[in-house]
This record gives sequence, structure tokens and C-alpha cells, in this order.
Amino acid sequence: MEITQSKIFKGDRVLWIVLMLLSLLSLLIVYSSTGALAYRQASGNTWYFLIRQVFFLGAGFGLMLVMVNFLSVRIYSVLANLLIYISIGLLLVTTILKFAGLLQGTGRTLDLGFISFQPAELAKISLIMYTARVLGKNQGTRGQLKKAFIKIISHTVVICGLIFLSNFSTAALLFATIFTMMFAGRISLKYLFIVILLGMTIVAGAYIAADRFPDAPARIHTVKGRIDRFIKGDPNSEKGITQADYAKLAIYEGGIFGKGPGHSNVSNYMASAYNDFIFAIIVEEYGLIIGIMVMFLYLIFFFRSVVIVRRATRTFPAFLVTGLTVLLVYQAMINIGVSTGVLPVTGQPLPWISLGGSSLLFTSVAFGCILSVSYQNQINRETQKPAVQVNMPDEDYEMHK
Amino acid sequence: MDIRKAIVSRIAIIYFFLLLFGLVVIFKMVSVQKIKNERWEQIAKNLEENTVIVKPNRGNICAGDGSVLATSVPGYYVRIDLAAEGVKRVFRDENDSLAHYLANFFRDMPKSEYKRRLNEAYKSGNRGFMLTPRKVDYQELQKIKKFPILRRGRFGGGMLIEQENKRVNPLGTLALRTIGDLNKGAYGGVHGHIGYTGLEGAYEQYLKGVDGISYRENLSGRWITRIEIEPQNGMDVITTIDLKLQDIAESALMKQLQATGADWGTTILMEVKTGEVKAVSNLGKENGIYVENYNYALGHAGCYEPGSTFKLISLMVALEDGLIDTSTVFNTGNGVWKYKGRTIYDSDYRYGGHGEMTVKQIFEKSSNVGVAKIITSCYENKPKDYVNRIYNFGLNKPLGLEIQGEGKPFFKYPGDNDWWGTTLAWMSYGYETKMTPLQILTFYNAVANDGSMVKPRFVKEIRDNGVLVRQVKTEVLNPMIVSKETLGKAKKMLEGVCEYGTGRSLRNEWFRIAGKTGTAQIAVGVGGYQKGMYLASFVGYFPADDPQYSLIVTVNNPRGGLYYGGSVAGPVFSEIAERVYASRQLHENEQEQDDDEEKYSLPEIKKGNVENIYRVANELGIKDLSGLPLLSDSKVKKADRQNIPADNSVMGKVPDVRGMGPSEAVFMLEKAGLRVRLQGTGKVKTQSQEPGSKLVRGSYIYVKLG
Repeated sequence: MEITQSKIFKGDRVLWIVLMLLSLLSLLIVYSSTGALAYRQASGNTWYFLIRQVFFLGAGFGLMLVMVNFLSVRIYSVLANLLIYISIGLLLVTTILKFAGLLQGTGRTLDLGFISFQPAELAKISLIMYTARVLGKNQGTRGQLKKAFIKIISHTVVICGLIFLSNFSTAALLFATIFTMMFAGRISLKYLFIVILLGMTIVAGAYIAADRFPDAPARIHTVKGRIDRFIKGDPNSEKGITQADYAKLAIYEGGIFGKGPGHSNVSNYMASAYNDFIFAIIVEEYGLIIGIMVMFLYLIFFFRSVVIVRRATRTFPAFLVTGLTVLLVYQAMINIGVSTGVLPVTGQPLPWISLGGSSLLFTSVAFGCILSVSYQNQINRETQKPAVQVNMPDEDYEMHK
Repeated sequence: MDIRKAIVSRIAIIYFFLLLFGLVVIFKMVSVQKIKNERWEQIAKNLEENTVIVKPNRGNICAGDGSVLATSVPGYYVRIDLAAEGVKRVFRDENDSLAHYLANFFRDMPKSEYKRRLNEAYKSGNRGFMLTPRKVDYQELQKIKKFPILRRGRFGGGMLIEQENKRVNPLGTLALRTIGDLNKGAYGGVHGHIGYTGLEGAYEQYLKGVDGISYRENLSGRWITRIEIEPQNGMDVITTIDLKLQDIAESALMKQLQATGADWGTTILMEVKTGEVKAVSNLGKENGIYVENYNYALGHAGCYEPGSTFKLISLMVALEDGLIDTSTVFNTGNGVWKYKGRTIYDSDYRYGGHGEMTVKQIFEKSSNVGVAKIITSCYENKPKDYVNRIYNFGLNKPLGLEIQGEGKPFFKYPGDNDWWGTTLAWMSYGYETKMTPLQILTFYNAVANDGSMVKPRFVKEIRDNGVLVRQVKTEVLNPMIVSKETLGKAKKMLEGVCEYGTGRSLRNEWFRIAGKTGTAQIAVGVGGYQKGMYLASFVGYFPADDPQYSLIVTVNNPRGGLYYGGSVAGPVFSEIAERVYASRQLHENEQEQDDDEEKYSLPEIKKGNVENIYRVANELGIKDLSGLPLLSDSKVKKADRQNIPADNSVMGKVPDVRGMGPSEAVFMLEKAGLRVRLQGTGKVKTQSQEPGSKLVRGSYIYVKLG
């Protein structure tokens, strides 16, 4: 594929276009779905959230440009080792604070004074970097792959376990991502089957434990309740309307061509219209066709990532791109699945579209990494020279044709 | 195997599954859109049902000094969600004690009955079981919150609190009719909440506030009400009512109504320059007692033939047209005059009539014959000129008050079907026309205000949380009703009434009153005038040299022999005028002496127990109050709302000044001829000479304030 290289927007041009389209949609949809939120939090200033979103999207693009233009992919390999332990530390702190009763809300957010963010967001990216690094370094022999599996699974269990205490779906999403990375990273299927069996046992165990031990952590009850409702149908659906009902109503009312921008009224009735159910509001306002196109934007993104992986010359960038892409696309699919009622209700924002704060910045870091890798590929193709920035010894493997 | 190929092919497998998932999503969306249509229609309809309007707090109506005349006090109902998880966990253990507490608290049913109902509701999974048999107040709510099960709060204890405000008038019946009330709504009470009569109705726009919206929604199986848009509380309407003056006017009127057994009475006190109504009292007899039951001052039912008070208007018409002067002489003969087949009588014709009198004297003596002769002689051939000028004064139109239901003035016009040959004569002294007391007062006020007719107003300003939103300006209806000369003559005549004429009894030695008596026979139905039914009134202004206030007193159908305006309405007028004058003196003195005391001023809070006062103060945001020591006698200011005993001003007896302010008390006592020695501050607590005891002029009376 011959694409002339932009001087600033380096990396895969299709990816940049996908991001631009998503940004545009994000602004439109955030503006129309936050009407109710604006009244709740910004005393009716409907511009407040739009301006906020413009700011964060702008910051995201800035961050990506910096990463693409100035940072070498290899840095992430080095950073991975550091970041993963910082993540574990932060998660531990959050968990302790939560059980000490010092954190308000769901105990997902850590406020450092100057910035507040969810440690799980950092943990997601650092665990993926770490996994990519370990996989990349151990592609040689079966023994190496086994060693890699043990390293990865032990770190994953710790991090996902900590995240699970406050947020089941993020833990599950991250776990699925790492699992996919290991699958792509040629880990023996035997090990992966064992992991699946163990996972199912734990979920089943939690499900049963919820009945036996009413005092167990509240999250377990939430999970059980959601699974029950998804399988048996919501007992409240006879008496009234659930969020999922609103979402389906939004899709129903949207029809094929939608009600038009800003004409959603279902969003006024939903607690998380701008977030967990945003895909349903997209369909309500812009119709089924645009909805399907949005979904395909994420699939195009995935496809471009496959191309980037195929062109990658080394294993670490390939796994890094795989992991980050899988994470974001899975997350998008969860949001879409939940909004349409294919999956049980859970709260995952639609990457790059949902109203975001710090989480949007973490998403842009992920995109920045992917774009950096694709830029690296382009340089390698054009000049066949190593990257200019930092000269570091490679720890991973070259991929042979 | 090549690493790259292995990786890419494995990712391709993932991609395949994602595509598959995408297809499932598309299939699902299409099926949602195409199938189960009725269910979504149903839900769309339910959206509206789950939208709950959150009512804002209605604004207060306050007196000029900020005292609250009408306010909304919250009342609460408590329900319990018996299907809430938290409740399920503890219901078996605590239902017994909850029933016990409820039975003890409300004492309307035995504990066993409470328990039976609780268990029944629990079995059927009632998600909003009503626990309170009646509306409870804030204090009670705090106690109920601590009951078993409920003490775990909204989530753990399933407690649901509904608030429903109740409109109360903290100062009782004071100007109640003018303050107005809310309509009672479809269910006979609490559901209306819309301003209906009086200022409540007129300023509904400001008072009502803006509704908020909340949504009932189901989060993880629990119903919660989420406030989406906060309601905006209503604004406060600051009226022109002056509590002290209102109290004076109301008690003076009440006293006279009780003494005469009249059907109803009304009095309006207006500030001359601004048209601000400082006091308005409407008292009608209901089951033997007088209550604010109708706004006679300005409503249809108060719209009567004015009688002699109208003579001022007639004579001013003729004076303005230059057809007469105050010194022009007319012969009233023996007080009986036959005109076109009907006879006009002077009220005192039995005493032989007054013979020849000047126009001024005719007015002062209120001779019907005189006025009729003046007007018929001037306008018999051109009655339109006479009526046109009345129209030009602006009297034929309602005042356009913001309060709904203003009575329409009624004037015949020459050429009308009901314009009879005698109409001009009868109209000249106040019959065959109708005006409300407030409309008459407005005209007299214009005379006092050097010809500028201002619109009476009840509202000074609108405030939103104390911030001034709108200031009501004085509206001029007619900048100059007549020429300066006519005005001067009219004033002289009005002063003459109280000097030499029917209003002599109103004289006092401190200031002069200008006004006019009115005694109209009341027409009942179409049948004509009922013997013995009169509308006694007195309208005027004071002090005559520098008019500050205009005042009208109207008493409808007094019984027991007295019916003349001068003797029924006059005493009320003079009592109000004197006490208003006294309190004005006091006010001026206060302003001169202690200006810096104002920053401590709190709205006056009248009677009520201490707890309630704290609460009201808290609700109103007067935080200071709880820090202030409340005197033990803050409970009731006894004389404040009670009527002054009827023997108060009986000649030869010591007046009762208890409950009055010091300057009013001194005024009253000195007027009676006593020498006053004051002690302490505040209102009169005790007086050394018993009220009603024999008065010894020139003796000392010691008055203790506190």
C-alpha cells in the first residue's frame, strides 16, 4: 500500500481517518446526549460537556502526535516493566483505601489531587505492554513460551483480581485481551484451555458463593444479579423499565435513518446515555445504517492493525499492537453488545466516542502506540534503517519473511 | 513455523469471530426494530409515567418589613419499600418493634393492627407501603427516621419520603383576603397549589417557581428517583402592607363591627404619594364572628352605590366647568325637594332644613337637596358634559389591579335605556352608580396628592432569595384630574367637613383630617331601597395640611340605630388616623435616634412555641435566630392580635393600652387626659391604672414596657 507520508500525522493514514471520524461523531453525540447531565452537574450549561470533550479529544490528538513524532516504540518495552509495578501499587492503594472507607463512590477512582483517574486504566495498558514484552522475548522455544505463560498469567491474575474487586467487566475485558494476546503469541492451546476451565470455575464459584455468603463483597452480588437477569430476564421488566429497555427503545425509535442529530429523547431518561449506552443513542439519532458503519469503523481499525502487525519487523511491536487493538475493539464490542442487548448490562464506554476524561487520554496513549508502530514500519520499509531516536539493544525477535 | 504467519493467522481467527459478533449485533438491532413493536410502544408511553415533576417551594408573601404573611411549610409522608434487599434482611427481626413504634407514635391503631398490615404488605412485596396515617411535620419526621428498619435510611431501610407543602399564614387572618389563597385542587386540598385569589393569584407567576424533573428508574433492580433538573424555588413577593398599620386598621374596624353588628366592613389605608396600600382589612360576619371572607375593598360584592362620598366628585365637576364657586348660594329649603315626580330628602330634613347655603356649606352639611339642585341647574340640559367629565377623571374604568376580581364601576350615560329623567339628580349625590371602596379612595387620594391620580398597589417588590428582581413603580393613572383652583376648593371643602360639618366628631388637637361622610341606603335587588339598611362610610386623608395617608372606612348595614357615616365609620376613621399618626411620629423618632439598631433587626416573629419559631427561622434561612436568647414571653404577644376591648376609648374611663407601642400608648393616654410615666422598653406590659377604671384627668399613670 503506497500512501504518501504526512509530515505530522505520521503512521497509518487510514487509522488517523478512522480516529477523525470517531472524534466528529463523539462531539455530535456527546453534545446531544449530555443534555440531562448538563442540567444535573453544570447547572444547565449544555455547552459545558461539549467544550470538555473538545478539550480532551484535542489533548488526546496532541498526545498521539507527540508519541508518533518523538518516541521510539522500544521505549514502551522498557517502560512496561516499570509501569506494571506502579499499576499494581496504585491498585493496591485504591483497594486498601476503598476497604478502609476512605474512597467515595464505587472505589474505582484515585484522586491524586492534581489529577484523578482510574488506576485500572493505567493497569490495562501496562499489563498489555508487559505481556507484549514477555511474549516478544520468549518466542524461541516451547520452554520459553511456557516460561512466558507463567509470567504473564501470574501478573494477570494479580491485576485482574485487584480490578475485579471494584469493576468486574473491566477485569473480564482485560483478561480476555491478555488471553487473546497469548493465543496470538503462540502459547500452547493446552495452557489456554486450562485457563478457560479455571476461569469458568471461578465465575461459577462466585455465582454460588453469592447465594451462600450474603456478606461477600458487593461486586459478587452485582455480577450474580446481572447474570441472573440476562439469563432469566429482568424481574423488574414487568413492573417498569430497565436501562437495557431504554437502550432497546432508543434503537427501536431510531429506525433505519434515525431521528436526526440532537433529537434523542430516550437519552434524557437514561442514567448513562453519554457513556455505557452511547451506541444506542447513536442509533436513535443517526439510524441503523450509521450505527452499523460505526461498528465497522472499529472493525476497520482492527483490520488496519492486522496490516500493521503483518508489516512489523519485530515481535514486541506486533504483540503490542495486537494487545492494544484487541483491548479497544473488545471494549467497543462490549458497549455495542450491551447497548443492543446482545450482552448483559455492564459499563464499558465506547472508545474515543463516549464522554471521557482521563480514560480518553489512556485510549489515546493506546492509539499513539499503535500509530508509532505503523510509523516505524513505514520508516523501515522506506529506509531500511533503524529508528533514529534512541539506540537500545533489542531484546525481542526479528520476524522472518 | 514462521512467527509472523502464525501470529497473523491467529489474529485472523479472532477477527473472524469479531465479524461474526458484528453480524449478531446487526441481526439483533434489526430484530429490535422489526419485532416486538408493541412492547416498545408501551415502554415509550411509560417514559412519561416515570417522569415525576418535582415541585419547587412556593415563594413567600411578606409584609413591607419582611415579616412573612404567607409561606409554605413542608409536610411529609413516609413510605417503605418492603421489597428492598436491605428490608428483606431485617424485616423478620424488626417488624414487631416497628409496629410498636408506629402505634405508639400515631396512637390511631393498636400495635397488632400495624403489624398485621405491615406483614400483609410485606408478603405482597409492596414497594411503597404508606407508614404515616397523616402528614407529619419536620420534627416528627426526624423521629420517624429513627424507627426500627427505617433507621437504615433509604437504601438499607427502604425508607421513601414524600414531601407535600402546606400553605400557612403565620400571622393569622391579617389581610388574609388580600394575600389570597391557593385553589384546593381536584382532590379537595393538597393537590392544587396554584395561586387563586388575592396576591397569591396575581403573582402566581413569580411565586410558583419552576418545576424540576426527576425520573424514576431501575438501576440493578432497585427503583430510585433521580432528580434530573433541580426545581427553582418561587420568588418572594414583598407587599406594601405595614404590619403595625394593618394591625391598627384591623382592630379598629373589628371593634366597630362588633359594636354595631354590621354585615361587613372594610378599610383601606393608602400612602398618598405612592399609592402603596399600607393596610387593608375586610371583615365579614360569618356565624356571628367577623372573618376575612371576601375582598370587599375591591371585589364585586363591595361595589355599592357610594352615596354622599360621591358629592365631592359632582361638585368638582361643576367647579371645574366654572359653573359654580364654593361661595355660590343655593336654597335647600326645608330639606325636601320634589324633582320630576320623585322626592329628594336631606338626611336631617326632620329638623326643618338649612335654607340658603353656599356650595361649601351644602357639602359640609352633606345636603342631598343642595347637591341635586346644583347639578340639575348646571347640567339639566347637557347631562353629557357632567358624565363625560366623570369619565375623564377615569372613574368609569376599573383600576386595573393585579388582583383578580375587581368590581367594575358603573355609571349611566345619557341616552342609555336606564337613563331616566331623574337619574342626573340622583347620580349627583351618589346613587344609580356603583364604585368599590378602593375606587373611591383612589379619587380622594388624587385630591390629596395634588391632583395626580395614582394606581393603588399592594406590592413593593419581588425578591428571589433576597435579590431584588422587580421593583413595582408607582403608576400614574391621571396626572392632573382637575385644575389647581378646583383642587384647592375641593380640599377646603373636605377640611370644612371635619371643621364645621358632618365630620366634626373626628376633630382632634394634634392634626387635621379632611374627608367626607357617606350614608347610602342599600338597594336590594331591583325592588328599591330597603328601609334601615345603610352603607356608612368615611373617606378622606390626613394630616390635611400635608397629606400622608388617605383612608376609607366602609361599614355595611350597621344595626342598633346608628347608621350615619359620621357616627359609624367616622370613629373608626379617627381611631385609625390617630394611631397611625402616633406610630408615624414614633417611626420618625426611632429613625432619628437609633439608626444603628437596624442591622440587628430580624423579621418580627409572632406567637408560636419556641421550637416552631426556630424551625420557621431555619426554613427561611434566618440562621442567627438560634443564637439569640428567646425571652420566655416571646411565646405570645398577647394584645398583638386581640381586639382592643370595646370600652377602650369610652369617655371618662382609663383606656387599655396594653400591647401597644410606647408612643401609641402615650398618645392614647394623653388624649384621655392622663399624664404618662414610661418605664422600660418594648410594648406596654402593665399600666398602673386599671383599664376601664374611672378616669381622673391630670393624674399620673405609670406604664411598664417589656
